[in-house]
Amino acid sequence: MDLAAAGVDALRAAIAPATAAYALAALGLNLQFGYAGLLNLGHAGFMAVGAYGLATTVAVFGGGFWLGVAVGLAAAAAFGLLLGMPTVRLRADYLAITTIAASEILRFVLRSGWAQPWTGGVYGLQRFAEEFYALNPFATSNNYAIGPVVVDARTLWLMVVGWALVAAAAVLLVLLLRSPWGRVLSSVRQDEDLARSLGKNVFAYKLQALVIGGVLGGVAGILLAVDQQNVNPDNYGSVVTFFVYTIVILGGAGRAMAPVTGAVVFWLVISATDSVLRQAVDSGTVSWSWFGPQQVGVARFVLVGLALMLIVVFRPQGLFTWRRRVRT
Amino acid sequence: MTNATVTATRAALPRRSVVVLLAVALGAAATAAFASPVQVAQATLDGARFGLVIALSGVGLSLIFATTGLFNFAHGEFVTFGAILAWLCNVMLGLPLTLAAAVAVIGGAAAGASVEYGIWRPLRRHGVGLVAAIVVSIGLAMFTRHLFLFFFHGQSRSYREYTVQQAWHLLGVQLLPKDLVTMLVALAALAALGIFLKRSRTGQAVRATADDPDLSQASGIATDRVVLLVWSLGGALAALGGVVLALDDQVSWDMGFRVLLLVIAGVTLGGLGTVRGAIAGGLIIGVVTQLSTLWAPSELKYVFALIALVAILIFRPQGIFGRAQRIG
Repeated sequence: MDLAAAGVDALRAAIAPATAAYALAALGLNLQFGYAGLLNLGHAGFMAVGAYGLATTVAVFGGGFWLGVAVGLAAAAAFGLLLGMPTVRLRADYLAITTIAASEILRFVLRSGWAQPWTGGVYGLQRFAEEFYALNPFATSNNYAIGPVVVDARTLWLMVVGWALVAAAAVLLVLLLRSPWGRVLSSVRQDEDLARSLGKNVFAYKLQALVIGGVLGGVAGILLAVDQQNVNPDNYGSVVTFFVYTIVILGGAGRAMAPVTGAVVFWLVISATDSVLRQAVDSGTVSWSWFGPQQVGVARFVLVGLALMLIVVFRPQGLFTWRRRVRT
Repeated sequence: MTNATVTATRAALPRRSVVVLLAVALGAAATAAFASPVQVAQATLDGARFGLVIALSGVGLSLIFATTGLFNFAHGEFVTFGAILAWLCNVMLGLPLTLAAAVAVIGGAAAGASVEYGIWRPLRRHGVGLVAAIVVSIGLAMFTRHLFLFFFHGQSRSYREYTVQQAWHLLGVQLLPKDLVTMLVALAALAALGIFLKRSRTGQAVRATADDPDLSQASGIATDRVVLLVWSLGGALAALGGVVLALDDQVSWDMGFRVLLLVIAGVTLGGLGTVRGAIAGGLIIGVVTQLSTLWAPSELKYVFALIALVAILIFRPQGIFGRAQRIG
C-alpha cells in the first residue's frame, strides 16, 4: 500500500478549490449557527442559488461572467430575506424544518422539467466560466507544483482566487464580530430575552446574520460551480448542508477562523480515508466479499455521520446548554 | 385546565374537523374544474393511501417529540429498517410477507428501544441541549442510512409476493388489493394506538409525560420507562410503515429519507403529539400531493406538500389539532 500517494491525495484535497468553497460556506454557516444560534438546515439552498444565479445568467441569458456573479450574490441575499423574514423568530427545531423544506423545494423546482428552459432541469447547465479562466495569469500549458502536489494552471488560478476569497471573508467576519454589531449578536445567542429587554431588535440582528451567512454560502456555490464548470440540482441536496455542519462543528462552532481549519481537516481526512480504502481494496489487502469498490465511496458518508455524532457529544465546546421546553 | 377551557377545547374539535373536511372538499372540487370527477376520485384515493402510510410512519416521530422534545431527524431510518428487515425475511429466509412484516415490527420496536437506551437517555443525562441533540440525530441518520447503502447496495428491490396484481374497478376508479390492505392495516394500527393512549393506564402515563414531564415524574410516573415505550412504539409503527410503503414503492436504502420531509409535513400539519393530528395531517398531505398532479407536473407534487408545511409553520405552527404553544 502506497501511503505516500494517499498522503499526496489528501494534501491535494486539503488545498483544492472545492475545499476553499466549503470553507466559505462554513464561515457563513458559522455566522448563522455558531453566532446567531440559527439552526439553518437549508444552507445548500444558498449555495444552489448563488451557483444557478451565475450559470443561468451566463449560459441561458448570455450575460457576462461578472454580471452573473452579481446576480448570484443578489439572489442569495434575496433568498435569505425571503426565507428569514417569516422564520427567524421560530424555535430551533421549527426553523430547522422550515429551512430544510425551503431548500428541498428549491431543489425540486430547479430540477423540474417546467424550469428546464432556465435551469437545465436534471441535466443542469455547463460552460459558463470561460470569461473567468481567460483572466488566468498563469501560463496554461504548464503544470505547477506546490510541494508534492502537482496542479494545472487553471486549477492553480482558481485556488489562488478561492483561498484569497476565504482570507478576505475570514478577515471581514473577524472585524464584523469584534464590532458592536457582533457583540450584540453574541448576546442575542446567549440570552435573547435579555438582549430584547435592553432594546436591541433581536429579529433584525438574526435576519442580518442569516442574510450575510447566506451570501457567503452563495459565494461558495459560485466557487464550486466555476470549479466544476457544471451546476446540477442534485449537487445541492441536504447532504451538502450536513457536510458543512460537520465542518463547522469540527472546527468549533462560534469561533471566527475555525471553519477554515475545519474544512481543511475535513477534506484531508476524507480524502486520506478514501485513498487508503481504495488502495486496500485494489491491492487485495482487504478482500472481504462485502467490501468492494462501490463500498469505498459510501465509507465517507458513514464516517461523516459518525464523526458528527461523536464530535457534538464529546466536544460540545460548552456552547449547548440544556434548556427545558418552554411552555406557557 | 379549568372546566371552561376543557369544554371550549371539546367544542373546538368538531368545528376544526368540519373546517378540515370542508377545505379538502373544496380542494377536490376546485381540482374537479381541471379534471374529471373520476380522476379526482382516483387521485383522492391514491392520496389517502399515501397519506395513511405517512401518518403511520410519522406518528412515532410526533409522540417522541411530544414526550421528549427531540425532533428525531433519524426517524426515516426506522422506516427503511422495517422495509429492509421484512425484505431479508421474505426474500432471503423465504418467510411469507405477513410473517416478515411481523418480524419487521418487532425489529423496529427493538431498534427504537436500543436507540433510546443507548444514545438518547445518556445524552439527556449529560444535559446535552436541544440543538445539539438535533444535530446528533442528523449524524445518526446519515450514519445508518449509509450503512444500509453499504450492505443493501443501491438498487431497489421488491418483495417476493404481491408485486403484480390485478386492480379492482369500482365506478371507474382503480384499486389494487394491496393498496386496500395497506390502508386497512395503517388505519387499524393508528386506531389501536389511539385507543391505547386514550383508554389504558400506560397510555394515560404517556399523555401525562407529553403534557408535563416534571409533574408526571413528581406524580410517580416512571417517565424513563414511558419514554422507552414511546420510542419502541415509534420504531415499530415506522417499521410497519416501511413495509407497506415498500409494497408500492419497492425497498431501497434511502426510502425513509426520501419520505422524511413529507412525514414531518404530515405530523406537523396535523399537530404534533396527537394521533388524530398525525392521521389528519398525513391524509391532507397525501391528498394534496396527489390532487396537484391533476393540474401541475407530477415531478413537482412534493413541492406543494412542502409549501403547505412551510405555510403551516409560519401561520399556525401547532398544526390543526395541536394546542397553541409558544414556538419562538
